[in-house]
Amino acid sequence: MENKVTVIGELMNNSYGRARKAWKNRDVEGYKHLAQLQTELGASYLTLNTDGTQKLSVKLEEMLEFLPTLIPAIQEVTRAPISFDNPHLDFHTEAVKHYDRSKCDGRPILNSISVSRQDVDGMIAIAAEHQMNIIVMASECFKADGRIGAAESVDDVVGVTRHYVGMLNEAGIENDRIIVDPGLAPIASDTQGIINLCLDSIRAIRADPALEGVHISVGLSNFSIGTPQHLRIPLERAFLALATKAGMDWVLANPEKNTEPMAPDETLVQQLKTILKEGRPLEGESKEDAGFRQIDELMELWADDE
Amino acid sequence: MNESLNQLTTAIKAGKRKDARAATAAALEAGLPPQSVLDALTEGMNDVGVRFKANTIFVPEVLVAARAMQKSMDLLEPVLIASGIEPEFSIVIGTVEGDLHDIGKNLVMMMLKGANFKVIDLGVNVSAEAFANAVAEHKPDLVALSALLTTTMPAMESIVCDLSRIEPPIKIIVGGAPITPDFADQIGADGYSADAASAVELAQKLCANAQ
Repeated sequence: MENKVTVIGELMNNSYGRARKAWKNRDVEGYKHLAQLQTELGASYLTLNTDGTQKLSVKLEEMLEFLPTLIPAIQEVTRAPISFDNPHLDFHTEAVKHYDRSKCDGRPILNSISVSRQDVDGMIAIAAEHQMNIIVMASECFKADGRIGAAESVDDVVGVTRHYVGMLNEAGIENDRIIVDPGLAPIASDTQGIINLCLDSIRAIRADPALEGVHISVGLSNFSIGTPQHLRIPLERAFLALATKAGMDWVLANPEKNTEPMAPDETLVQQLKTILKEGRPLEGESKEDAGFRQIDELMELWADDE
Repeated sequence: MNESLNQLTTAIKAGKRKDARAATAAALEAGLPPQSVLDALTEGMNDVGVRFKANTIFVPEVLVAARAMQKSMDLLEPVLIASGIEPEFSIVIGTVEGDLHDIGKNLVMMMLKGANFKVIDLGVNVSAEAFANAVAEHKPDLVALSALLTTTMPAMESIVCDLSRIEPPIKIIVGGAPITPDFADQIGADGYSADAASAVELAQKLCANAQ
């Protein structure tokens, strides 16, 4: 498989200080700068997330009020489609009203539907009517007792993916307009084999004829949270090498960082493979015991620092 | 200080669970007061908290330290109970309804255990009713709510609202990625913390004030 990934730039998100500043001042120039910058750095799509964070509270009404100004402004400086990232149906209803399709190359993205989202039907209807791409979060699923829970097995991930892909196909949205996110957890706290689950799920989705042609993406910055600063980008690129080899073709990432997958023969890629191998439970071993072996192996990466 | 207690503190700081277990066993066999073993353990976890906050260690080191602490506690707990020593404070913790994230909550939980809190973990996707039942059953000193999604912030608000009607009043602390001090204030929580180490400080402060 071609080792080149399609990047959704994540900088227009209030988790980033620059985006927060632009949001607080309702500064369209700030947003235009971030849009242009990411486009120049090769992002094919641009996330727009104006939601609240730990450092900022935002009301839905405030977002709805600013969208009519913000969206055309972003479109002035880029032809990269926007990926609208918001859990509220009203946000998407408003966003599409102000989005000029003649000014972008490709389809905008609706981010996202999942089992814990309200208004999934409404979201699908918008994506269908407006010819959008759509992201399916497959890291959550319905459990046997009907409650929602974290996907814990490849079957869980593939099951929920098939469920939504079926619904989307029925609404006229073909597989190549669907981006599946199997969920990526920070490796620093992965005591339950979530990273292995992510990679296994990517392989299983690729092997499933019903899912042929879907795109697969994860939020890459998540991966390195909780590890030493100097290792964060290298670790992300090493993971990208493994994930693209498994069949992932898109990624949500910061285009300012190096978002190229590392060469497969680089030491860190091999080390990461070894770390993840430790996380596979041996016969009769609990997920957690294996998970902590993975953590021990991970810490070896910086054991000689200081 | 006794050698095995030193070893225990060192083992916790380094996250060496086998050493922690061995040192705990040695200390108990030598007939040292269980409280002194617990203090050695707490000293180790406090150091971990401080270094984590100062960015000299990272999430994995906290996790292995907490696990080493748990291995030590497995041996120590029965002895503590037998000698009538119980954690001074207890806390009910959970991620609010509609939200399945537990990494942050688990980190807070382990740090609280390290600071000798009795922790009753309700897991994720916890309803107001489940929180209220746990409060009635365990009579904790504190309730801690986590939310990682902007969409579940309203659930946090309604749970805080429901719990605030409980008599006698129960103190509530909140945290999670989208939560701000303002939001915590606005929904009537008694405290907010931005990270796991600060959550422990906040819990200790609120419990001490209540006495």
